[in-house]
Amino acid sequence: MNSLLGQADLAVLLGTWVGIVVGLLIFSAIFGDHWLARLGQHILVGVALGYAAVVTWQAMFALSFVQGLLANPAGDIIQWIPIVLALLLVIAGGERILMQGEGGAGSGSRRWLRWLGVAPAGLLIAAGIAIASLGVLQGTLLPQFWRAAQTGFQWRAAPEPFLTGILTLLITVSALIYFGVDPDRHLSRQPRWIASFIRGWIWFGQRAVWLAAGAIFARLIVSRSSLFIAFVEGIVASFMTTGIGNTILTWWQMITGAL
Amino acid sequence: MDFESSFEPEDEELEDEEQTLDAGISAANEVVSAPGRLVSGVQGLLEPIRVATAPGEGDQEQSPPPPTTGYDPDQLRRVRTLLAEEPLIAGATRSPSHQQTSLWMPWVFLLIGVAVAVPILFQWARPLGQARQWPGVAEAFSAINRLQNGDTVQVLWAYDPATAGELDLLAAPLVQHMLDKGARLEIISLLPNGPATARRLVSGVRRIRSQEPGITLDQSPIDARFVPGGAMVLPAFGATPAALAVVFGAQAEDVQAWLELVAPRNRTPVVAVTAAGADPVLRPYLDSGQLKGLVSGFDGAASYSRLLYATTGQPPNQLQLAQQLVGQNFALIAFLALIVTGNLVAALTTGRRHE
Repeated sequence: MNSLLGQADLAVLLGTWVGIVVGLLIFSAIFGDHWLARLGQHILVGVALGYAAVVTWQAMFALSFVQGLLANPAGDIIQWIPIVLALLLVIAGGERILMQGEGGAGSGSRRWLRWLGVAPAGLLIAAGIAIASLGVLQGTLLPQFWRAAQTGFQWRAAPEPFLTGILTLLITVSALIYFGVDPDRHLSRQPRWIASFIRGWIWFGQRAVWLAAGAIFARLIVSRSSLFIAFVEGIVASFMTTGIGNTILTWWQMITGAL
Repeated sequence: MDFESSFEPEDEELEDEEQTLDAGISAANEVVSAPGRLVSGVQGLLEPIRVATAPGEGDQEQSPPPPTTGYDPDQLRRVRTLLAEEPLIAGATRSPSHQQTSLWMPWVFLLIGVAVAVPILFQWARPLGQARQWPGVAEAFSAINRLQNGDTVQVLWAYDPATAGELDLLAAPLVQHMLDKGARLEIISLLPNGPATARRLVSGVRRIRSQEPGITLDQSPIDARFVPGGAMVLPAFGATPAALAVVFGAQAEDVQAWLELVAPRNRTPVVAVTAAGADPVLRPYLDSGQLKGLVSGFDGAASYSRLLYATTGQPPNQLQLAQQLVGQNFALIAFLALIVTGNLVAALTTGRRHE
């Protein structure tokens, strides 16, 4: 072991070994759900959560209004509002976690505490919905709709962009109909020819969605393969760092007669 | 609405649990899925644990069953796992059943594992080939190549060590290109592990580049910070003017969030650098012009490195890219072998069953 420890800094070497062991423990999950794989996951999640908590704590103190309050607590009273709301949320959430399983709504003070916790939670949800809705509208729905509409029927274009435009429009609309129209609910009272036409369009939309899912699946395989190749490279590099890799390489060369 | 009673269900409310549950089941069967992305995933390795409940959800409240579908739970789990853009490592595998002929999943993993590991262990250099250059790579290269010395580049670092194996390959040549152009990177991340991942990569690129003769890079501290609050805080960055915005994201949602919440405000051109799985979802944004460039997957990294090599010199991750290409080729052969074998087994056993 001396030769192993002598090659690199002790902390780096320990980190490498811990990485190898935990990595292999988690990787062993492909052989089933066993306690060693779970142990690896628990260590990883625990360490990651601990690290995240520390980083979040530091980031919170780096916020400009927190810095302003630390410098001059009585400077701007409005800056206390986010702090008070955050404290209310933490207290109400803490009470809920600590008192869970006791049943009932509890005493009047506990009810009040939960009531107060609703204010920041509601503010968060409302702001989140407003931001997300506006974002989807201005960043996805409108530009994508406009693009699909623009590429529709370019009558004077060359055959390739003309067909591409028609296909884009056709696939977009058919996929929308496939997701939005329930044949049993929406088409049962329609005239026969309309129902048949829409069913045909839904059929087309379904195939278009399958095709898109196939493309996504193919790229996901590439993505996962990249991660796996990087993992194997990492394990090999780690073994080389510890010295074991060179020993195995020497043995291999002796066995094959290369040495 | 009696808000207090909906926040915490009273005991007497629970007496009607059966009726409520029946109503819940019938309502759940009719419920339309909540609006969301067509393809979405979660960051991290495990299914997220719910640590808070919304008003109206008591501890004793029964959660309504999911809407019925034409698939059994195992099929649904597999489809969800496959389409989640983040890798989910934890997942129980089933033992081979004696009643049905099926491939035992660990054998599938083992075959792919051997196909990928053997070429890396023995440092095989073939078959190599050339990665395909998809539309969007050359445009991304041009957008970065137009940067002037001292230009500010907003960087959203939306990946962490869970996906660094793939994303580092992509980020390295782009970061090198931006540093070579003398751009000033303002890196923010919504992930706690993001800034550390960014610092590791940027300092690695600086170290390797500074070893080359005649190259002098800015060695000032790396401006990378974690911003708590999730996507809700992104609009704040729309007030910052910049020459370019680059999103390094493992998932399509990160790029979409930037395009929806930041880009419409500061009108800064955006280049997306993503995992291969996010590419099909983001391609419409490239076609609509919302993205100036799109680089994804190992093939995107190889193409970008090729462009960089042609103009500025040796890219920093040549060896890893070569190993990726060889490993991907062997993985593809293994996948094809599995698909053919699976179909043959299915065809043969179906024929036998019909007899």
